[in-house]
Amino acid sequence: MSPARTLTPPVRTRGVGSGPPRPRGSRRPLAPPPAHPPRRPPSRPRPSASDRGRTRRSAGGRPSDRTVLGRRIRFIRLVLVTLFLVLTARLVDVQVLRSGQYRTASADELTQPVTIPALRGGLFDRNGQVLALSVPTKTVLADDFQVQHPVSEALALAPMLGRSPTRLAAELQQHSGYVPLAANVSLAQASRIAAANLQGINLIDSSVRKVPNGNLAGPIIGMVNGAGSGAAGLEYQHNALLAGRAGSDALLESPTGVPLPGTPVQKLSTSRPGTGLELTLDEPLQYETEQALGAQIVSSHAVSGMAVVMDVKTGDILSMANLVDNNARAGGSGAAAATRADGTVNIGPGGPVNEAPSNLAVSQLYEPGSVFKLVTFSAALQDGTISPNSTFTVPDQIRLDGSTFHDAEPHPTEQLSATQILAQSSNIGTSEIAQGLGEARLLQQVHNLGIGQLTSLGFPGESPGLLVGPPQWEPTDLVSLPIGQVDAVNALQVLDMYNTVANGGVFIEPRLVRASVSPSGAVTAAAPSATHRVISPATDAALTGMLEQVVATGTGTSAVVPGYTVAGKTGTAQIPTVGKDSYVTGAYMASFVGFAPAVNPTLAAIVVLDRPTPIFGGTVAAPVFAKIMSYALHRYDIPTTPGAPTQGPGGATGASQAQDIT
Amino acid sequence: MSPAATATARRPAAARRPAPRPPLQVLEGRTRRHPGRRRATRLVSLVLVVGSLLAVVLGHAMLAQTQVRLSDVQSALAAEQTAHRQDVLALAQLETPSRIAAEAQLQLHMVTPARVVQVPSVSLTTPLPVPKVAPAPAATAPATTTPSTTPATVTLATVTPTAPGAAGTVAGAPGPGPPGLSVPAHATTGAGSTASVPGQ
Repeated sequence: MSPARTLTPPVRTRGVGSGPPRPRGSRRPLAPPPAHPPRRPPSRPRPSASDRGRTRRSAGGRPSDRTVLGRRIRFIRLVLVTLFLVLTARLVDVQVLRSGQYRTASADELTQPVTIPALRGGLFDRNGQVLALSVPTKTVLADDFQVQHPVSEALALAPMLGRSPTRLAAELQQHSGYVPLAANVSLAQASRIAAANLQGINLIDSSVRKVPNGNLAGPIIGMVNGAGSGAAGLEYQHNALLAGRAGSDALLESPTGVPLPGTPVQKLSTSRPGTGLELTLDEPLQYETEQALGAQIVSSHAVSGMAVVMDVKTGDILSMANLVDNNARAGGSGAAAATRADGTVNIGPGGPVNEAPSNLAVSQLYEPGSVFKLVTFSAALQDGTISPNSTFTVPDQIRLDGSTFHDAEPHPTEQLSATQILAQSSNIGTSEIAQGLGEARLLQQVHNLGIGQLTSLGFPGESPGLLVGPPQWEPTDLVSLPIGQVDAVNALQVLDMYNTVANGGVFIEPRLVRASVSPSGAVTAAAPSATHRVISPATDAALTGMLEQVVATGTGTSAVVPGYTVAGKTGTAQIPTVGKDSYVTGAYMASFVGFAPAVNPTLAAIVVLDRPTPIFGGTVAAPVFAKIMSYALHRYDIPTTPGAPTQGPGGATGASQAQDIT
Repeated sequence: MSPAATATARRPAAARRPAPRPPLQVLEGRTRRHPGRRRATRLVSLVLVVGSLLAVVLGHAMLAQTQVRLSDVQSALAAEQTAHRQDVLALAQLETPSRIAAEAQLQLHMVTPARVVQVPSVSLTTPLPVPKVAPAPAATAPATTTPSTTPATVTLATVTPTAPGAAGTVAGAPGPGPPGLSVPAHATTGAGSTASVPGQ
């Protein structure tokens, strides 16, 4: 505290709490005299800031120049400080508070995102052989606004792209700003183009899908479209897995679209390659299957054909062939050469047969015919209504509800065992067995064996089939259904049915994908197929023995594989007329389905031919089965069966062996 | 009057007298820094600042250089991966069954057998009889005394089949195979396209 303030007498102020108000006009009471007079007079109070200027006034009351200057300086200082504070606040606002927003706006203005497509995962067979693979390539683009010398650049580019310089020069003068010059150029070629350092020529990442085997297993593998997405088959079904995730780069360019020279490419997100798939298919077996089927389609003039080979224990589909006759599709011109110079069937657009446009084995429905008799016999054996040696009196035809049913060939009324009925594929004998089962039991067994249901493949376009149910049931169905009419199935369902018998009565879901292959090459096995028991082991053993007799003495003798016992069944089914309650005259689906070796089976297979000549499954489909199965059994080193025939059928013809027609 | 003022007023005169001010002293020069030392400090500070700036610039240059090298390595890696894919694809094309079949039939003149005959199965628990090998005809004495390192030649014609069931038949051939040639059990015969492959 300054001495002056200490010595200043207190000033009495009037205000709240200072006593009652004094009436106007009254005398102010005198202050009491000080007890001790001050030693010295109180010093002059220090002038306040507002009074200082007043004190510097001139005598006349006008402020001096120095005072004015001081005021102006203070004012300018105040303005500058204020400005500085505003600028600082703005700087903080721009650089700190809203920096992200401005950075984003700047990037949006300058950066041009470019999508980097992810490399699609490959498809491999069960041994790692490549079935489909994507290879990185480049697409050559021209920004013709930047091309100063189109003719000289066209001359430089033409040999590298293998194109006419005249056309290139014309394209470089379109003034469109975006001229694709070449797609899927190899990286070596692209590096040569980049080294040429041509103005306005850009290279963009791309990839191309390669199938080294041509169209082998084409309906299974499927295809990718121009955008690189799966469009059919497994490529479509597993597109999400195969495609991976596209990345993106950012290029710096001016708002007018001119790339800023010397600016680095900024990677916004890294592309993740797709996951590959290891299929259950075996490439060489697939080739042999297609060759055998194709040759038979050519020789029998069939419209199309299907053949599937399956691993009995795992449900793995080892080969799946779907072929169509090119001549039939072209109106029967017959111009295509049957075989190549090396004796193999030319399968392709230019050959006599070609890959089917879809996977017929799961998408084409047909009446199965006699191969469906397995449903009847398995149910009857399971229920104990028959045994393999049960005897039936079998005429060659019966009449029911106005319809006549007959066997394939006329014969006198015979005493046939159940095994003989199946071996000779007697329709009348089978219908007699079905009478003891009834409608409900038959329909239940149809369901138990997987007919009328989608398989676990989930293949695009797969059909569950068409089944007759209790609401549509007619009296004649008790004869039609047991012999493979009325219901419509696909080939894989029939194969599943016989594979169940081969697998000891345990149904196993088929599968086409056995593992996934990560981009780094790590293989992760898929879950094993689901199984459930359908037929008891005793019934299964009896059925296998009866099916063996079909090949040994019945309609399927052409399916004999030297060195191995084979069990199977033939089928020759009529083809319904579309939209009518009748069958197409002279049109049949010939099929053979079976497994080998009959003891401890390893492989099951089915062969189906659409409208072949001759018509019988035992004549046209069984030999194909034998050829495919012989190759497959040897390929997988399956031991031969002691006591099995060492030679094939030796020229058995359709005239010499029993046949079946349903 | 405030109580403080009252107290002041009642204070004795001796107490009210201000205390004598201490005499002003001139500080000694020892507290002032030496001009040379100040210059050195400034110089060191300057060197430190410039050195730091240079280090930052150098670090940035090295970072940029490393990034360029990294980019080069990544480009080389991508090129190598692409080349690898191309090689895999080329290998797959060479291994296609259609190409191998064509090569076998056109270049090697192999034929598809018209008929396949399977060799009967032989139990492996019973050992096969050892083939009797006829002794080779007595060779003439060598011209030199140096012992020959060439082993005696045994021709296939000298091997006599002892198990009739084990005699193999070449597929497509009209008769039995070469005399005396013993074919292993369960081996496939002739089918050129049925190459044996290890099991799945």
